[in-house]
Amino acid sequence: MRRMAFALVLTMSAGCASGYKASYVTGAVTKQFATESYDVYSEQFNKKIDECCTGGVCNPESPDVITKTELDECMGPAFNAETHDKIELAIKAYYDAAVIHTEAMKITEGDETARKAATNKILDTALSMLGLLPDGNKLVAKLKKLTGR
Amino acid sequence: MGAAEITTLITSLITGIARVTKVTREALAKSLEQMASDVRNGKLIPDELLAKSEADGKRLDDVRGNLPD
Repeated sequence: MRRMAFALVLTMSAGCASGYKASYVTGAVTKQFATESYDVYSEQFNKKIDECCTGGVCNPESPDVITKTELDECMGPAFNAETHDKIELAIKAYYDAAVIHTEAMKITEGDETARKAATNKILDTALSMLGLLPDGNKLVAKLKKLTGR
Repeated sequence: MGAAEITTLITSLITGIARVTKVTREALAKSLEQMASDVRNGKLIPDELLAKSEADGKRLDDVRGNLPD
């Protein structure tokens, strides 16, 4: 894993020589890392709902979870409604940044400032989202390492 | 923490590491030009990620909405 991360940083360093390619690499790596990290969270999140609600559906007759508060407690701080709402909002912000990044890469290959701003934006929003996931600090550190930030 | 919980935790950890490793390997395998092409073609836009998070949120809302405060 370390060797691969190191190799990726080397690849990025090579990309820096050609400027805009580094932006592509940062964007592509960020996208893949964020998507795969969310997939892991999503799997755990859905598993939690299955565990907390008999048969996957909570209802007032359920012997284990009968109120919203009890469901939140059962889901835990990493997966409850408040946390998931924050994650969903962060993903929307990241999605918007990804759209802007793609447009910027299409039209500003010669404009280094705009290119860097779009790349920083997508990376920052991805880091914000990752920070909300379980073990967020580790994910943030890993993405920073992968992207050389 | 019981043995079952520890096993689940370790399994989740291994699955997570395997997935991240796969992502990194795939990223390395792609050439810079391929990545540039992917970006230009809009493959960087995480439509599926957005849809998945919204579906997860909807599932929780549906389940939670049936419950009293």
